[in-house]
Amino acid sequence: MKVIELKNVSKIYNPKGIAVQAVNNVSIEFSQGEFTAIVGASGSGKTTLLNIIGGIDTPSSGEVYVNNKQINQLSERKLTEFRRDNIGFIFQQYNLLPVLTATENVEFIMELQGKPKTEREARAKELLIAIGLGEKLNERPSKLSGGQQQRVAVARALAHKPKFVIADEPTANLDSKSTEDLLQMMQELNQKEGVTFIFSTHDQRVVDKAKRVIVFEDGKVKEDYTKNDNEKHKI
Amino acid sequence: MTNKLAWKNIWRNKTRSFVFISAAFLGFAIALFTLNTMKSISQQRLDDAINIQTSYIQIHKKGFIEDKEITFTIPDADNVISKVKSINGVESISKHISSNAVMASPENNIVCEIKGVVPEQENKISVLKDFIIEGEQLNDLQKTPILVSKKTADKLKLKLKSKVVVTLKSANGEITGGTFRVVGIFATPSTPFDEGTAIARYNDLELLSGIKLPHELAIKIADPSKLKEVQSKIQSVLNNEYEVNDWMYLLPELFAFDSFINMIGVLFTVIIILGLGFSLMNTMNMIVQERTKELGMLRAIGQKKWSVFSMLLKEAGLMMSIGASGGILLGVLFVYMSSKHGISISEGLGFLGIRPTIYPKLNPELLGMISIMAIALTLLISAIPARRALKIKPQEALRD
Ligand SMILES: Nc1ncnc2c1ncn2[C@@H]1O[C@H](COP(=O)(O)OP(=O)(O)OP(=O)(O)O)[C@@H](O)[C@H]1O
Ligand SMILES: [Mg+2]
Repeated sequence: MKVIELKNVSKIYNPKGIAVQAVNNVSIEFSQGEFTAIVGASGSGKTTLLNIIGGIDTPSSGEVYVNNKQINQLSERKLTEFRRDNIGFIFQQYNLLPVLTATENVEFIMELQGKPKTEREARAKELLIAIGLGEKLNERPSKLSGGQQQRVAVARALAHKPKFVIADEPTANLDSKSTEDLLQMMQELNQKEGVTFIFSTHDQRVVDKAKRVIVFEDGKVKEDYTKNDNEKHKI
Repeated sequence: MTNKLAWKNIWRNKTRSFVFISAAFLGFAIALFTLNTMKSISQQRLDDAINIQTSYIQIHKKGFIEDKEITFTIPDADNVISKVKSINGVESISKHISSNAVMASPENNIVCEIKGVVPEQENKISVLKDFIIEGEQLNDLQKTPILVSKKTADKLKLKLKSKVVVTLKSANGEITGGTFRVVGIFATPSTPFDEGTAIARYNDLELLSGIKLPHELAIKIADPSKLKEVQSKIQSVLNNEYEVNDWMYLLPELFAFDSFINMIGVLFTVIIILGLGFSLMNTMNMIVQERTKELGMLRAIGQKKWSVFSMLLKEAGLMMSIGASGGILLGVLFVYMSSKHGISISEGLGFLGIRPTIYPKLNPELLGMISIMAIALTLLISAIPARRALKIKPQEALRD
């Protein structure tokens, strides 16, 4: 089932009069349950693309559909609601709220949605236990390792059961062991719960775990392929 | 959660929050205490002047205030009194004879105003009796009694029972004089009043001067806040042969000084507001600056603009409430303590009618004003940095 569809999407940045074509006439689709890596050189447009898919940024031209609903025309307020209800975000720098505990961080979006306390708490605990942080429920981020913080971020991104999760270089700040653990956890969530993940990365080990790989170059899709389960592919 | 978040965010930078909270605490404590004390001083002066000197409203024959001419008496005074008495809001009336006079003892002499009063009437509108420090107040049994101030007594070297000669202009334009005996010595907070006033019995002055009618009717009203209303009611039952004036007209310097004190109060408040406002603005600016990334993240994951805005306002509001409520509490405590023990001001301010020791009363209006100020200040000042936070674009804030 098609979740996201981009039609002829371009993004041109124009700081100080010098136009930069960050995304150049891209048309792609993403389906339910995908586990997709977007790779490409620095400056190739990965972040820009993810931001457009996630409704954080708007394209200069082209159309973006999520669940067949066009989102690039929404008002800012509607777009904010749309992000809150449909998308989970994982950031390179974790970006947890430092003053809240792990559980409270995970609850946060559900709170924005107005879900009742008991439901929020139950869901946050369930997720944190599932990702192996049952011991750290009431710890603040500063008491957690980078890998643990990023797991909390994954739990936060999943808490409100979004249509898909977007992660811009989620492992860039992690050591290899943490990267391994995080990917394994994401894979499990993808397989068991059918969560759709779209992430960008520079890390070959991450690419190896992806089911579909989109290679970006100069704002364009250079390659887009889906692997067989046991195939390994080098970029 | 945004409430909780706002609360927890305050303690992220403890030193900075502590600095602002302490500033608000001290600012409000000092502001409340100082303004309240100033207001109390000013109010006490007015109360004293009204209760001792003028009462709230006075009726004269037109022209008397400018001239003090002995023949400018109130026509048909008994009728005027009974008319005015029946007006709603008028509590009591006291008739006066008022004349410039020379008061002489074997040692010295002074020029002053001598006032003739009916003791029983006068005691209902004046509290001068409470300021008698030696002797007693006037009554009907004494023989040609007079009350003089401590200042006058010292100057003329008078003691209780001393004789003093009062000379004034009589109704038929001649000089007349009589001997009075000191029965009481008073000292009020107002030096000018003390230096310039002596009080005798109405009947005695009537006899001495030969005039048949009073110069002045002093009126006490039941509710001071209805002053203007009662004044115009009185004016409306009298024709324009009579002049009806309130204390603000009769005590212009006092009124001007009260306005001056109020102005200083406003100035003082503005300085404190500026100081606190600057501090709050600075604090909130730093907060928005430091948390740009975090605020961008919150917008990205779906927190609405208004929610981010109000979260920042709540943070500012919480800091302000902690500081201001603590400060107001301390201020109230100060006021309470000083109302018990008194604050000694200078002895030397009697020329302004200021008492040497003052017992401030808590002014609820002032308390209300200060609380509203705290709220308004928070909302106005923190809205500016909070608005800046709304301009943060998540896609830019999240890039490194
Ligand atoms: N806000 C912006 N203003 C101007 N130019 C921008 C802006 N954001 C991105 N760009 C430019 O757009 C192009 C694509 O940037 P983007 O961040 O999407 O690349 P990326 O593939 O994510 O790179 P990296 O791997 O380094 O994260 C780059 O040339 C970049 O300089
Ligand atoms: Mg990037």
